[in-house]
Amino acid sequence: MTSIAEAITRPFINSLIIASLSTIFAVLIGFLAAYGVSRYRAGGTFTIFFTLLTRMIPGATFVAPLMVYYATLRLLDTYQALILLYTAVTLTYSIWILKGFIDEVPAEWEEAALLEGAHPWRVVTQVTIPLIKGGIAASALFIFILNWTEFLFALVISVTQVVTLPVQISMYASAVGRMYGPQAALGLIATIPMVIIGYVIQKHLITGFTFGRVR
Amino acid sequence: MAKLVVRSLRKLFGDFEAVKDVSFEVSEKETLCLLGPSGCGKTTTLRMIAGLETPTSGYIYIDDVLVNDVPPQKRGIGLVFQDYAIFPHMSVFDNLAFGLKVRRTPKHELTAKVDETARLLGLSDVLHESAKGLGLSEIQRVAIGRSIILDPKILLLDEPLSNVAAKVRERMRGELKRIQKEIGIATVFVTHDQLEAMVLGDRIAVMKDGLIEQIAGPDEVYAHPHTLFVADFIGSPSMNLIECELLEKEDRVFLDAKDFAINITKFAETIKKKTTGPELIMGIRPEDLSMSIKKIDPKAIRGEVQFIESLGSSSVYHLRVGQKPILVKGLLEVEAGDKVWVTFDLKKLHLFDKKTEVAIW
Repeated sequence: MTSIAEAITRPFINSLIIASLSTIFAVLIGFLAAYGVSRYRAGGTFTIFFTLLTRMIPGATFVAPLMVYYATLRLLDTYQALILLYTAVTLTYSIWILKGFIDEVPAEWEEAALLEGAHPWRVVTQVTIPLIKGGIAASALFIFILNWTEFLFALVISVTQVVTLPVQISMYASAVGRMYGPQAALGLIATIPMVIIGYVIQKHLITGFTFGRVR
Repeated sequence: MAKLVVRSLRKLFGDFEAVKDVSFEVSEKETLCLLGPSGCGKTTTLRMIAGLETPTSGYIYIDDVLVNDVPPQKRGIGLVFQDYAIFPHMSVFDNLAFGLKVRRTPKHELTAKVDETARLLGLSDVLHESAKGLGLSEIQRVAIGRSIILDPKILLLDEPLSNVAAKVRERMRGELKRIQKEIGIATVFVTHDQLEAMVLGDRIAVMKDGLIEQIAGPDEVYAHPHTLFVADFIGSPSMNLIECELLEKEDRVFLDAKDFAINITKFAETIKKKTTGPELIMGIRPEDLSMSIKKIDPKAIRGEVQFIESLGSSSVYHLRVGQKPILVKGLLEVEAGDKVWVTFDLKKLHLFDKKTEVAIW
C-alpha cells in the first residue's frame, strides 16, 4: 500500500513545486518586463512582439533539441530543468496579460506619487501593483493551470526522479493493460488544487479592474 | 522677486514644437491662468514646471533657484492633475498622507497635518472612507489636499474642472477660489475655459500654438486684446470681427466694410502710423453695440434681425447688416425679420492689422 500512496504523493508534490515556482517566476519577470514595455517602451516596438515567437512554434519541434541541451547541462530529471522551461514558455502570457492591465493604469497616478517624493519602487509596489492585483491573480491562475497540466516536456525531461502528475497519470496505461481505477482516482486528485486556487482568487478575478476613474 | 520665473521655455516632441518660446513670472500669492485652446502647449508648459517633462531649452526658476535639473519631488510643487489622480485603493486619509508617509513623517505629526488639511477642505467627515466611493467635489478636494499637504512653494492645476458637468463646475469653481484665497500660494492654473480663467486668475496668459499672445489681468485682456486671436477667444458671445479697408476720400478717412463705413478722420493719423497696409479687421463686442427701432443717431447702421438667442437677463440678436452677420447683446423688443438701427461707440472699437493680426487701436 505504501507504494501506491507514494506513487500519488511524490508526483503531486513535484507538480506543486514546479508549477508554483515557475508561475511565481513567470509572473514576477513578466510584470517587470510588462512594466518596462508599458511605461518606458523598453526594447522598442519589436521586442515585445518577439516574445510571441515562442508561441508561434509548436512545442513538439523543440523537444528533441531541448533534451540534448539539458543532457549536456546535466539538468535532466531535475526541478530546475522544468521550472526554467515553464517560466520561459509562459513568460509570453504573463507579459502580454499584465501589459494590458498596466496600460490601463493612468500614468498620471504614478506621476502624482512620484511628485510626492515616492521612489519608483514604492510607486510600483504601493500604487501600480495594488491596482492591478486582479490582473496579476488572473494571469497567475492561467499560467499555473498551464504548468500544472503540461505533459509533453515533463514526459521527456523527467525520467525517474522528478515525475509530475500528468506523467504519473499516463503511466497507468501500458502495453500489458490499463489500470482505470488508479488512473481515474489520480485524475480526480489532480483537479483539487485547481478548484481550491480558483475558489480562493475568484473574488479578484471578478473584481478585476473596476476603478473609480473620473470621466 | 517672483516666486516662479519661466524664461524662453521651449519643448520639441520629435519634429513638433509644442512650446515655442514661453516666458512669464508668478509672484507670491498670485494666480496665473494659462488659457488657450487644446494643443496650444499649456499643459506641456505646466508639466515642464512640474519636472515631468524636460524642456528642450529655456530656464525655470523657483525662489530664484534654477530647477531645470532638480527632480520633480524636490522642486517643492503641488500638482493637481486633470483627472485628479487620487488612488482608488486607499482611504481618503491614506491618500492625503501618502506624501508624508513617503517622507517618514512621525505619526503624531502626520495625523495632525492630515486632520488640519482635511478641516481646511471640509473632508473631515469622509476621512476614513475609501476614495472609490467619493463624489466629484470630494475627489477634487482630496486632490487639492494631496497637492498642498507638503506645503509646496507653487501649486499647479491642470484643467481640474474640465471633466465636470456645468452645474457642478460652477460650485467647484467657487470652492476652488475660496481654497485658493485661504492657502494663498503662487498658483499656475491651466484651462481652456475663458470664464474659469476670468474668475480664478489674477492674471491670464493667453496661449496659441506654443506662444503667449498676451499676458495681463482679466479685465485688461477683455478690454484691450493685443491680438486678433485673443479678441476672438475671450468673451462670450465672441467679438464681431469684420474685414474692412482704410479708405481716404477728400480729407476724410473711413473704415470701409463694403456694407457700411465708419468715419475715423479724428484718429486716422495714429491708425495709419501702425498699419502695414490698408487691410484691417475691426472688432466690436456684442455688448458694446446698441440697437434701436427708430434712428436716433445719424451715424446708425441699418440691419435686419435674423434670429434671437435668449439668455434670460439679456438676449443675443443675430443681425444681418448688408451681407455681414453681426451679433448684438442687449434687451430690445423685436422679432426676427424686424429692421433695427445699430450704433456703436468708437472708443469701444478694436482694430487689427489683417496681415500681422496685431491690435493697432
